[in-house]
Amino acid sequence: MTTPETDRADPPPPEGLESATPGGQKAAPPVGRRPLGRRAGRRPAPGEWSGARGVGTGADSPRSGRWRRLGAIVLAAGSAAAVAFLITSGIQARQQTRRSDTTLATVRAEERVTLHQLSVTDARLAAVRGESDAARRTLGVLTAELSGERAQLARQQSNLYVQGVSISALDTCLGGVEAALNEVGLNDQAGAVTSLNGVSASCRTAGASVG
Amino acid sequence: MADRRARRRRRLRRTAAVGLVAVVMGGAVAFDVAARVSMTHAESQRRTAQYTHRTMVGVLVGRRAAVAWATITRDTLRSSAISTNQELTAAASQLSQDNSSAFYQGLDLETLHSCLNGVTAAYTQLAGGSLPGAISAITSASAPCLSVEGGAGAGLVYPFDFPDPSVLDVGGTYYAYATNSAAGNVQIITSTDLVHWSAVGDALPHLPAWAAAGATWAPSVLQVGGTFVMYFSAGYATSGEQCISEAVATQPEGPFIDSSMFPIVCQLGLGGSIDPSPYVGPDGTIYLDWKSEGEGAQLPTLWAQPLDPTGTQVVGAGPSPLLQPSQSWEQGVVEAPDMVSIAGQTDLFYAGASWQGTNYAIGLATCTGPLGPCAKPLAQPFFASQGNVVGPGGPSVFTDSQGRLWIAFASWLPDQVGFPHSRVLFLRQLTVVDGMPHMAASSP
Repeated sequence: MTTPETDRADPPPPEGLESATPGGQKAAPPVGRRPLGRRAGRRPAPGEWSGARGVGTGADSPRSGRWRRLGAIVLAAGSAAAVAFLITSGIQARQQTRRSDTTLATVRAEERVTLHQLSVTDARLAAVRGESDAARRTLGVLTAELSGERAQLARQQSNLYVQGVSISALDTCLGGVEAALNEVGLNDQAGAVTSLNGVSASCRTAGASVG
Repeated sequence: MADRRARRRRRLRRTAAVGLVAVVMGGAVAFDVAARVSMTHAESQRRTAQYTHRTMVGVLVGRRAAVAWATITRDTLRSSAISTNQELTAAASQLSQDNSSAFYQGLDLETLHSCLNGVTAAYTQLAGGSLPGAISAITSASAPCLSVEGGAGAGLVYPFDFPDPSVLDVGGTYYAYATNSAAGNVQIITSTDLVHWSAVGDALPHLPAWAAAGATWAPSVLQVGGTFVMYFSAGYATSGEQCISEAVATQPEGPFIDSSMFPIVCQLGLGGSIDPSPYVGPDGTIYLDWKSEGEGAQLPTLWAQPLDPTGTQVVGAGPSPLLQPSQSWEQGVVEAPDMVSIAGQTDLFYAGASWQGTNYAIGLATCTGPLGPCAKPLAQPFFASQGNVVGPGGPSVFTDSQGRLWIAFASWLPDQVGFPHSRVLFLRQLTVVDGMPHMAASSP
């Protein structure tokens, strides 16, 4: 803290280390702690604090009092401004905190909703995946059954074809033998032989097919 | 003293003021710092929460996309499963049908094989000169061969060659006779239910001296008292034309004996006589109906002439013409007459067209009496080819033991038309509506 007086002279000693005496007398600085000034009869060495005050500047002088009051006022005003600034800043911070809290509450509410939706969605996903797995298993079983049925169908149709060929051959063979029988009944041996020759291939096929 | 106190007070005031200022400043700083710390903390929490929320929303969006994908996958799988199930059902149905077809084909194969074995055995026996063996083989193969040819559903009752049939009821046992075949000069089969028929053998094992073997046709039998008289045509050995004779037996299955030296009807000038059929008139008089073949420009003609009470000799002034071909479907041929009294009216069934073809059919005429004349009430055949009946002919009407009217006829089978294929035996019931006979759908 400086005064207007010290502004025009060497810098004052740190506050608390200087003690003024009534009547403008200067108290001696503490031994070992304060450098010696001009009042000690010598010039202060470079780096030493001079601590000189202007002539006629006493604490109790009207000019000094004004300066002190002015300093106090400035100090008070600065302090007030600082306090006002700090309080305003704190209030703004608190308002910001409240807004953040409000936002936080909103976000957390939304978070809870989202969490619920996520939970529902997870359950739904699990259910759908379960249904998909079941459908996949069912499809696998059905596909296997279908494959088996188709294999059986192919075998049976092949069997039917072979049986159809056998029936056709047997029918042809039977027709020929029956014709031969009718011709033999009328003593037409040549006709009977012709009839039998005509169906011999079919009869061989039929005989092979029925074993 | 006072001055020192004043200075002390001033110093105290200054100290107090400075302290107050320091306290106020400290409080303000503390307030501000606390507020800022609180704000910083709150901001941090807000940012953290917002970040967390954004993360959760991102996760949620991802999960929802996963749900959508899983739903699509599930629906696709289900659709595939449904489609596969439908295919499976169709395949199972087809397999069932094929199994059924295979089963019936298996039965058909087995039946065909049995029939073929029987016919082959009959052929072998006959070729070896064993008629009884052939008859036995044919009889054993009758059921499977009947099944092969379509069964009795449409009236087919005997699946072997049985042309020009006639049926006689003797006390509830039915005897059917037919043109010569592997079974002999005159085939005879018997049944008690009109459904199951068994071969008996040859009802006419010996032909008369004037007849040539191999052409003994269209036999029919009449019971006259305790005697059974068979009428048939046979080839006249010296001319080759057909003539009509009779043979007698004491039982319907024969053997019938013909010891005649000459036929009883033989119209050599008309191309020969065939298809004899007896008819007993309302007054008990026996008549014989037949066909003259016709030569050159002569038309085939159906005739009638009375017989003596024994039924063995024609009597009277001569034969009376009954019918000649006059309708297009007849193709210039009428034959195989069979006269019968129905609802007090004399009806004449006959066959028209070529016996070897599918147009062969049965006609109907109404007569004023046993000796005619007869008229044709229909412009078309009474019964023509239909279903498994192809070229029906050789009608023989008879009454069963329950009074029902039946018509027996021979027919080719589909795709087996013309000799040496067989003309198999059918039976159909006749109904009478307004005095007119009609072919019923029912069969034995």
